[in-house]
Amino acid sequence: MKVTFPHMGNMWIPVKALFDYLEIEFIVPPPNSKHTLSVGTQHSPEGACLPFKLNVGNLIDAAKLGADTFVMTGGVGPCRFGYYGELERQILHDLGIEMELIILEPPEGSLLGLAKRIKQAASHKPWIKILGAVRFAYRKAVAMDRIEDLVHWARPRAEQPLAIETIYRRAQTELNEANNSAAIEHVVKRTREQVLAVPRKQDFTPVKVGIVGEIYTLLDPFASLDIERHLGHLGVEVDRSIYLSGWINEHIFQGVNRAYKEVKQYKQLAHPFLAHSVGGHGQETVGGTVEFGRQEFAGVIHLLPLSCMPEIVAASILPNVGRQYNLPVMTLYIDEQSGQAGVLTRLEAFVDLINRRQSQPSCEREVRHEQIVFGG
Amino acid sequence: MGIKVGIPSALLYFYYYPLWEKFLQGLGVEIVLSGPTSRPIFARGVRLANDETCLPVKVFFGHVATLQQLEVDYIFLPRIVSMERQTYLCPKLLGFPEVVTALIPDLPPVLTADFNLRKDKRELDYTLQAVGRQLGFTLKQIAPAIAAAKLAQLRFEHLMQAGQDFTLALKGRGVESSAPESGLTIAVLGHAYMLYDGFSSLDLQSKLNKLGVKVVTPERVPPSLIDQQLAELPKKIFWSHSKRILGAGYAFGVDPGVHGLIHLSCFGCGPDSMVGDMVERMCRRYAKPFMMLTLDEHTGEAGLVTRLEAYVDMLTRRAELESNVSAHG
Repeated sequence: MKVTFPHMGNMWIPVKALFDYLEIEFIVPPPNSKHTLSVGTQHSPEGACLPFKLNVGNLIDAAKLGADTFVMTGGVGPCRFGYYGELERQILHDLGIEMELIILEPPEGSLLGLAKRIKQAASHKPWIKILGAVRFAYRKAVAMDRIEDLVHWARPRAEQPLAIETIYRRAQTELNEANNSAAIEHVVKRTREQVLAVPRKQDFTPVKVGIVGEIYTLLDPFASLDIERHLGHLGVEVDRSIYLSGWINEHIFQGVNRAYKEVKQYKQLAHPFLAHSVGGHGQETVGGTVEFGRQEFAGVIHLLPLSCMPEIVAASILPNVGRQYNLPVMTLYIDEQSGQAGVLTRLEAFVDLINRRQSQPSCEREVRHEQIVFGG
Repeated sequence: MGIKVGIPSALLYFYYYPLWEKFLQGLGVEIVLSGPTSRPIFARGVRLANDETCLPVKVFFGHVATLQQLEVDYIFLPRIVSMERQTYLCPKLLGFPEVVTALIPDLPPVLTADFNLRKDKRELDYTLQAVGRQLGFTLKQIAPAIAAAKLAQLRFEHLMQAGQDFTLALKGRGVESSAPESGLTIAVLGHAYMLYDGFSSLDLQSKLNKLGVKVVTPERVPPSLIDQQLAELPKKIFWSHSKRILGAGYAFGVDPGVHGLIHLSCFGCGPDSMVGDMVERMCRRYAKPFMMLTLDEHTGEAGLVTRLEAYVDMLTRRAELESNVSAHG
């Protein structure tokens, strides 16, 4: 069995750790690129959302590298993601690619069914080994989150931001290669030392911008057109509403674990603005924006793939949140037509705006700019 | 004077209006409808709604804004999470009360409740009771209204299954006589709020009728047949309306009496992008002609007519030449 798993940012690192631990051959699809997107777009329904198209591209690429099984997480709606796996299976089948699909979810609510599927994905290894693998992989996910947070802190402060990118890339490689818990800790520790050794700008306090939105566009730099890096280089310290381990914890472990940054509190925070779950991460987006507003961030950027249903609900409600917390919110819709240069221009304009607002005494800040939407 | 409740004639109106109507009338409440979609209603909706949302939601906003101008005491804006076990409605509808109140300022009081029948069918009674109590009625007054409402809804669904015209079925009128069937039959798949809203669908059904085509819609297919068609799927569809569209699509796809399928979708519809593709894949397997129509607020009528004529011509030639014409129109 050769297993593969579609990309989502750094997700491949913990997933690869999981299968390596279980001694199952794992194929990492080639990283998301224009090629992935164009192959994926070609074979996906026109109206599907961006993550779906990238998934299809990844799976076709992985099949060429010999993968014969793909593992997906699932869900029972109402976000489209819950049905990704099955439609992807049909698309691959019609292309003549026979891949087995294992959806890690309790089929019709049966936990026994879920256990069977985990066993199947793990080639019927003993449970103790499976649990060990899950714990080890999760540790890598948490370590990745800590490293990312460090990078978010360091990018705007570094005199040479490119030095941070080099450290970040090295950390990704080293974390991937780490084969025990001590090695994981060591990578985090060394990355921190390296980051702290980079010379920093004198007398400079970066403005803080929160990034909220749909999970895939938040976590995947290709899908988000690398906006975290661009913002960092524009002198902005970014924070995100959802980190990888937070998502894994909520989506797969049903919240029993401790994540690096929990997502639980967002539902409560969102309640005054959106009282009911709308699937996906709509409520988390609203709650995350409230949280950034409370922490007096300078602005929030809302990322979503075009036609994402839960996030459209959030996008309609965020102006209200922005008004209440005097917080500029920019909404960025992303699809296969989005270009990096256009997004960069919008980011620059947004950063200019919040920098000007920050330099004014708070009583004079205009409340007019609650939301800046630069078209689709 | 009694209480006046405004109901937008859009979106879920096309699925559940008989239920709401009989319930509120049973309580002696006066119902004010925003009326069929028109250009001014539509223009209002496009202005108010989020740019990137789908056509039916924009239309719905127009209806709410229209009700705002007709003096009503309440606007009925339920949050319909699920009307069937193990399914959901679209996420956009789940966030509706908040989204509408966020984007349309100065609305009259909103009459709302969460309809969530995902786990338990009896929730329908409880939720209707909650609605009635918000209007100041007692449980004793509410109970008969609920019973009558459920009957009316059931009758409406049966009439739709029997092939009654939507507006007549809404009035509870039975099918009088069915004309002998001849010529082409086309199945038009889509959400009820697209299919039966003449303005939103650019009168697709009557355009097809004018071309001499008999139209069948997903509402014709009984739920048992839909479940039977979908039984083979490894994973269940979790949107109730899309489940009906897919099941009906599969049923029409293998029905020799149906000559072709049209999927009427709107730009930005999430569930349609998934199930529409699944219907298309099935049609290819069975060499059944399939056409996808995606509408948005910029769709021109002339272009639509040309496509329909070409499609119907193709189907006619196929019927004459016994399927020697390509199925992919």
